[in-house]
Amino acid sequence: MSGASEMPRAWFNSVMHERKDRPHAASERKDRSPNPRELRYNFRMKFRSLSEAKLELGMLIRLAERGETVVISRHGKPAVRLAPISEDDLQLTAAESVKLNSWLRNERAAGRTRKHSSMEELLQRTRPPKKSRA
Amino acid sequence: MKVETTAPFRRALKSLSEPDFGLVSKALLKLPETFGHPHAHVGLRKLRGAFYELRAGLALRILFRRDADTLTLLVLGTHDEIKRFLAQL
Repeated sequence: MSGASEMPRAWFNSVMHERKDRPHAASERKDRSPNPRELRYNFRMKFRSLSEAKLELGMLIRLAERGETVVISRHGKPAVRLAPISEDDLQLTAAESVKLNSWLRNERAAGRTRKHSSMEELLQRTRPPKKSRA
Repeated sequence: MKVETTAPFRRALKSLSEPDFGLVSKALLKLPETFGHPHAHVGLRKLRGAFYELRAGLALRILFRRDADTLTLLVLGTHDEIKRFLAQL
């Protein structure tokens, strides 16, 4: 019973593997010469159309985090590449922190900074005006 | 703890939509009492030097500097807006 139910799944997995993970599999077969148009791209990258990517975005993000290059195309043309982001990407660079310090010094010297007694007072003073309903 | 603001920060705060202003004010009000308590999980992160970053919601972040007893709120915006601001300094 279990063997019969395993068969379709194995077949399904093999088809999906050929279709999704190895888009160049057809051109690798010995009985077919590779299509030069298919070889334009680096096949170590994962290519997905926008509609495919929407269905498996979670998996693609996991792959990108692992270091694989995932390219999402729109209307048949590569549009974006998923890339992992690290804490260092969000960090200030040394040059930025030096520039920020000197900018702050200039702002204070020019009297453009303002002191507040508390956070509540700051929020009261800078509350954006409420939009009236027409 | 005293609070100091720069002109770009005040401008950005005034131009926020009401829901975003709510998120930012919630994060800012918690800031003075949770400073120095890393387990309070208010989205506070130390950057280079005396600079810190406070996250308000998913997109908004506040860049500030801490000197002895003063918090200087420098810039408010999304990650890209802050990067743009730093690039034009």
